[in-house]
Amino acid sequence: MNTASTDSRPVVLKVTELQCSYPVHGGGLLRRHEQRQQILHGVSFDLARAEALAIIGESGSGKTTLARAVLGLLPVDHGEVSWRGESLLQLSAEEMRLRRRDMQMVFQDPQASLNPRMTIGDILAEPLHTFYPNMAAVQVRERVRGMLKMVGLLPHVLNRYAHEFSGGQCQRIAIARALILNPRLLVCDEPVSALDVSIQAQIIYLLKDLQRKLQLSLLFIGHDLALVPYLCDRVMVLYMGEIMELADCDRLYSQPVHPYTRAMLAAIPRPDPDWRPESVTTRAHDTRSSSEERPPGCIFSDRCPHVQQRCLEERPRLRQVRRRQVSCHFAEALMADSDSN
Amino acid sequence: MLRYALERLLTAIPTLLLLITLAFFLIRLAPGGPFDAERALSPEIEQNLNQLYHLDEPLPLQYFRYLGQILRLDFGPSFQYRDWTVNQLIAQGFPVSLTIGGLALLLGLLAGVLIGMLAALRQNHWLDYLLMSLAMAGLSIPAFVLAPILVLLFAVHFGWLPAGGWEWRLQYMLLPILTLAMPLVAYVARLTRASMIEVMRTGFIRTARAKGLPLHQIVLRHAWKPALLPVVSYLGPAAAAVITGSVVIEKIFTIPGLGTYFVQGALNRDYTLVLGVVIFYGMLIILFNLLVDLLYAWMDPQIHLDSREGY
Amino acid sequence: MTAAMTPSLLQVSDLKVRFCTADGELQALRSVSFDMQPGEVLAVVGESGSGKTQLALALMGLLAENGSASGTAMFQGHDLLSCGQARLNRLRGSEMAMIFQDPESTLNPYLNIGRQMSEVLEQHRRMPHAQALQVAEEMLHQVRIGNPRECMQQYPHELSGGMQQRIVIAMGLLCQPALLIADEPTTALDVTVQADINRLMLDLRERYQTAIMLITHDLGVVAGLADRVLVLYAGQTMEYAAVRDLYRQPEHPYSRALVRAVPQLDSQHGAGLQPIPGNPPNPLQIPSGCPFRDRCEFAFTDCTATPLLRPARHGGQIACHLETLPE
Ligand SMILES: Nc1ncnc2c1ncn2[C@@H]1O[C@H](COP(=O)(O)OP(=O)(O)OP(=O)(O)O)[C@@H](O)[C@H]1O
Ligand SMILES: [Mg+2]
Repeated sequence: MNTASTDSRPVVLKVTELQCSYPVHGGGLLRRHEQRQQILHGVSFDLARAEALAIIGESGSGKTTLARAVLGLLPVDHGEVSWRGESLLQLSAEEMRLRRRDMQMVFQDPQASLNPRMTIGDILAEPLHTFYPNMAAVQVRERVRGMLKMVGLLPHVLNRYAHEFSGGQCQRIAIARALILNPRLLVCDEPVSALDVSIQAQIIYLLKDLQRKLQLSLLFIGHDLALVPYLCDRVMVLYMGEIMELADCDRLYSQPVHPYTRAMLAAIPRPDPDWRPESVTTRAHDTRSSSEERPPGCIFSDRCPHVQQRCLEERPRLRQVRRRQVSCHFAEALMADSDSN
Repeated sequence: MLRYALERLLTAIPTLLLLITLAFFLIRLAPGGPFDAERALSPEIEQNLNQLYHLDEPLPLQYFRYLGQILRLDFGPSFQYRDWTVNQLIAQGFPVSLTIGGLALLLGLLAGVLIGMLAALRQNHWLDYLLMSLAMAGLSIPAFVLAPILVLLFAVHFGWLPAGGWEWRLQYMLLPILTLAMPLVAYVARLTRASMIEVMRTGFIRTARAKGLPLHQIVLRHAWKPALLPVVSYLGPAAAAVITGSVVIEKIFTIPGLGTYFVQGALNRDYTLVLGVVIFYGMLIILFNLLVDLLYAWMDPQIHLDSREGY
Repeated sequence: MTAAMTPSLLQVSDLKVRFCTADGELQALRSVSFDMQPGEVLAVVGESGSGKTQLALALMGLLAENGSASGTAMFQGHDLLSCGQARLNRLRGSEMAMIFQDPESTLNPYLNIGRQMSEVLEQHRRMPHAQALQVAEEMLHQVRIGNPRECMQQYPHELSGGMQQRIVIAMGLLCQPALLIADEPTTALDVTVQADINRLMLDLRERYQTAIMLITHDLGVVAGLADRVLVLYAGQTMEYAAVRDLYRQPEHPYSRALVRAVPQLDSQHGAGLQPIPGNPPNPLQIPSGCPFRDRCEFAFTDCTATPLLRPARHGGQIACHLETLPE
């Protein structure tokens, strides 16, 4: 769609070799030894101005962790996050707080992310009060009303509370709150997963519209690939904390390379009465502790229909294959295969 | 499990130390001394007595001497009951207190849980209202009011039971146990009812109903564990409440239990006796709480005592 | 196995569900009628709050305490709504089973899987415990659980959402029921798991001839699964049609809007994902007339009167005043 323009736009966010982990408490009261469970295993990507990048992965793949690490809401073990040329990991808490004005987030559960005891007007004005304490009341009101209009809500919602609204409306309010400070980066963590299909579409188009109008850089996190082409320019497929494939949407959808990407695409149900769902072999070990044992080779090898001996022994690196990044030993062969079909 | 228990016991040592220290110094703060009551005492004799019991030494020294004793589980001689050690007094009074307290606790739990479950299953039914009003009453009437009423009724009016005193016979135990158990029954009933109502609304109870299980099986198989968990957590405080309650009850019914010794000891500034009873009960409560935690872990499979993560 | 001599397995007519709330009476279902044949897959589709879950719960006799159902629901010769608790207990778990929206809260966290599964057979088939465990283990194998024996010993919190949902399905199928009600069985799961579970349900239907009522808000999910579709809006039937007709030539504007709201991968960008403007009405104050008229692009004066359910050209039923649906 806009491959060419992506390249010419300046990169605003650059993430290199990011590794993150969460503490898991082990041992008893006296001999407490802290273990850490690693979630992200070296994730690198960049995001240009006014570009929309989708981060897609199953539950537990580390999407939300990635978003939180980028926004500095989580300590990073290793790697680098730089925002407009400046490293974010070296900043003090206060400096980071000021940077965060530029980066805002929208969450999955619209109702839960809005304070139930505050009116919508107060919720929207709060960020302004925090960052611009001297802003005149008239100006604040002006800005709040303008924002409401922008997300397609009427001014009479200002004096009401979040529970009076449906999921879709709450998500509009959450988007308005995120945009009220004029951020440059908007991170949306599964913004439509909790919504009805009919309402999903509204929110997706609203986000697309705002992203274009405000020249926002957008990180869109989701758990399936169905909605991505309607909103994003590029897509990253994440599996157990590693990037499997990263490519322009056009390319990825017309010719998915990584077997995992293919499985994700095949799993999307089609609204077609003649289509039958195929089984996608789900994880062999289905227990909660899945991320503890990682195979020495390719992490997808235990589910991959094309698995070879090499996949079990050697971990593939993410590498450039014909204008896309893939982490598979047999990317070229798989591409040639689908070329000939 | 065993390792957890050992660790818990080890970590209880600082708690116990704090308890001993506080009790030791607090009782010394109270005015008067152990030998005040016997006014005929000449200064020389008092001096001798003080020397005998090391009461003439500076307080810190006494404190450490006492700690040393405790380490050997020796609570020392009683100041008041001559020729008796505190250990002997505890050995004599505790079985009585344990019988009354233990039976009261048991009765409180059984009756409370039964009443609570019944009320929950008949929620907003007249039976529920009746039981819960009774529970409310049971909670609000203090023991020193309830006990005389029971005595008037069963001992004086009907003459079925003795009004006080102690023998190892059921007649003598009934009224004290009833008085002691009453607030417990009431509280446990309310606790059980609330948690049972909540549990009966959960998804997995709905699943059980969708399986076609009859109500009694739903309760006996699916609901009782989660519904009783709050009661299990309450066991610790309940035991403490029973111990406190028994002090009053034993006084009212003139029962020679540990509580009576304790009250007597406190009035007479019998330092060693009071300290001994306090520490003994302290240890008991710590042990009891440990048992409760083990019980809780056994009931809730989501809890892993050895690796305490998350929960 | 099923003693049904009647042509349809389930015949629901004029089903209404009401709730007493602090804000007054709430009508979650306002006269819904449909029937299901043995072995049929019926999809019940609607937006959040349209009454899908309450429909299922009413049939299972599991409505919340403040709710009540009226109408009739004939199932194997018994009216589910009036047959009484004892009869219902004999049918539930053996002739009809239900899978709930949220797998995490469906299973009892205090009992291991084996216990929760075997009790169904012990209850309805009077099977001894050991044998029940064996049958349960076999059923776990049927729903493609890798290590059934180990799974039987585990507790729900040790299992992923997809595993839990498989177990719930296996539990529902233990007595080979004639009807399985699945309330959004895959909404809470990953797409790949969703595909697996859907495939699994189709296979199991094939094997056991179980009729399935599949509840969803996403028409994309049911296209390849269902035989017929019942579209609900604000507690009312909008359209009731064979699945092909509903996707290829829907006659109700709402059904068509739902079909078009589904994102489409195959077609070029622009197709699919067409939003339905506005929001569903507040269930406490549903306006008179057609409940969809505020959001309907074809609404006209007639729509202020409640449209009656009438036969449609495709052989199903619709509730709409429009003669033909404009392009
Ligand atoms: N116990 C209750 N008391 C009052 N209202 C209720 C109760 N249970 C459900 N409702 C209402 O009934 C209506 C229908 O609910 P239902 O759960 O059937 O919706 P649904 O179609 O399943 O939606 P979703 O897609 O969100 O699951 C809703 O408006 C809901 O608020
Ligand atoms: Mg529902």
